[in-house]
Amino acid sequence: MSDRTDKIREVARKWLADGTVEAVVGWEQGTYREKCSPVLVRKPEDADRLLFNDRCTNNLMTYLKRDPVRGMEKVGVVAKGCDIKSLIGLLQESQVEREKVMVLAVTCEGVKKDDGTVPIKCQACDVNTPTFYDEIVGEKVASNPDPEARFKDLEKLDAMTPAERNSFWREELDKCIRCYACRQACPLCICSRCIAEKNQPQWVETSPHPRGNFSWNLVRAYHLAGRCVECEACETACPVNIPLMLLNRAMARTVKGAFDYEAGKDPEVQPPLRTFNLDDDNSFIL
Amino acid sequence: MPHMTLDRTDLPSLAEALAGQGRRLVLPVREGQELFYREGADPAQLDLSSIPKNSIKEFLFPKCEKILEYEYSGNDVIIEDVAPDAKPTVIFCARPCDAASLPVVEPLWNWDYKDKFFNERREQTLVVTYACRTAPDEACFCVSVGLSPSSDQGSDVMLYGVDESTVAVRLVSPKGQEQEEVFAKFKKGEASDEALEGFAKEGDESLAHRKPLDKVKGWLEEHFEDPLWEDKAFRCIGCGTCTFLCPTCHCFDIQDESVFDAGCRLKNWDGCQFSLFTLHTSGHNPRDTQPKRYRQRIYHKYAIYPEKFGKTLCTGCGRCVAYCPVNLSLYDVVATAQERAEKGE
Repeated sequence: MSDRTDKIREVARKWLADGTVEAVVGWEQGTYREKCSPVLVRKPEDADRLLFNDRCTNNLMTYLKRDPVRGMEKVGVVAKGCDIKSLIGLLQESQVEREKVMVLAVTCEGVKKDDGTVPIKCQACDVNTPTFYDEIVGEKVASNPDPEARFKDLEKLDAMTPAERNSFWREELDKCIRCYACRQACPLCICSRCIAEKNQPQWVETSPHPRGNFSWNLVRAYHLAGRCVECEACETACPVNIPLMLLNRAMARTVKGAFDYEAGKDPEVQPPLRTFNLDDDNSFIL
Repeated sequence: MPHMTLDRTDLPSLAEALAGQGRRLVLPVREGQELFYREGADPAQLDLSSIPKNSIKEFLFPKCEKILEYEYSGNDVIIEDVAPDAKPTVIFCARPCDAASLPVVEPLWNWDYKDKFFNERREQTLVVTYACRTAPDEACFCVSVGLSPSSDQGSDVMLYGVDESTVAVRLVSPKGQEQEEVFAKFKKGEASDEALEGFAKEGDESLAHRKPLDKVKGWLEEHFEDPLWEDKAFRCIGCGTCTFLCPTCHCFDIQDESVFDAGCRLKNWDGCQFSLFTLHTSGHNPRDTQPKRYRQRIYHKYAIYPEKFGKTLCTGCGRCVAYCPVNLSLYDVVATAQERAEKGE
């Protein structure tokens, strides 16, 4: 780990010193427990603030669509394989220009959540050693041979009757306080004005009552279908512990079954729900 | 004056006895790795191992509340007031920083308008607080805002876990004293004032590393424009986690929801970190960037509210430190302001 930290600092220092990038977005040591925190490094001498360890949980791609990073000519971003999947999503949707981003990839054995457990995305990771980058640091790390193990959690939803599933989600979504941490942490929630913020007409009720919470969370899940790269940023940020990844993974599994497509893999391929082909499978209609 | 003591194992029965008088019962229970104050939870599940993730705010100022109903009738609108949905409530084993938030926000709800929704709930709520012997979490900084881990502000009754098996009771307010008989049923012994003295000392010692923040207000008044805001708030993703978990944040949004000719007006939690919060109808937004919004939150808590109401709008509960998705610690920001004030910067 410390080896990777040294190399990240070295590359960032070089990029900042020779003007390759205006700034580097990375992680620094946080101040609460072992948490790490996103940081924007603008000067070569500040590159030593950067680090990498198993608490670097934040997906920094969310900063690419925000000020001040959005306005920069060229920016460096330190990224794990799962974070790079979201960059691929942003590239596919023309939200980020490839030549404006320098990707400093880091190999990763998996991160830890605040409670010390290993996220499902890490247990079933297929990008421990990233393949899409400008520079990479760290020794090669082998991936899980069975990335579909991440769908195992869905079995408990599959086993429910529709009525049971409805009451399961009603109970979970009742907890929602509409803080929008899910949306704000999500690198692929790209709308400059979210539908939940549009009130002429009011498409989604902003009230955190059961109907409003269903509307909001289902609209978001649908909007991410075939786009969500399962980085878990939303679920990690949620302050009321809604299992949002059950929704997102259920959508991902459906998209995979229907279109044999997985988000965040190939920047040259368009997500299925953004494209129309005459030979698309229409069997679900007939 | 001696204080009665109870067996710790009697706490669930005590909670039930207090609730048994027709009150709804709110207490901290474990869900997964974290604690939450929950209404209607099983008292046997009472968990005092740490500070809950939510504050007690939602039981006095709910996240969504109906404040009137309306109906169109020809060219008229018939408006009907609705009574607050206030029930007699006991918040059992609140933490001192949560109880202390009540006297902090009371002047706000009674400033130019008396908010019957908050006031009726406050009136009907009995706050039984479980003193922290030492700070229960690394994020705690109550001592920095003039409180302590065993502060009794806003509490009707204080419970002190004097040892592993014994809890001492101190009836603080007249509302708490009215409950003496209920507590007396569980009385097992007595404890002297001296037995409780260790709490203040040990509590303060456990937070000796936290700074007083007494110079922050003065510093803020001189540093509205400062690189600190851009530097610290870069990482803020603009969610409402800090404001919604905060026991003292009280901003709300008004929404009218109707079906055809009839509907209701709702008061929902709102947060100053949202870009829509200050967006004007004209399209102008005076707080158009995240650092400006973040600065506003600090100013409201440490300069504007103290100026207006004489109280800091923060009880140092540390939730905004512990649960910020990007670890942007409010304490670090205000401690930096304090340090710079001390250095005369």
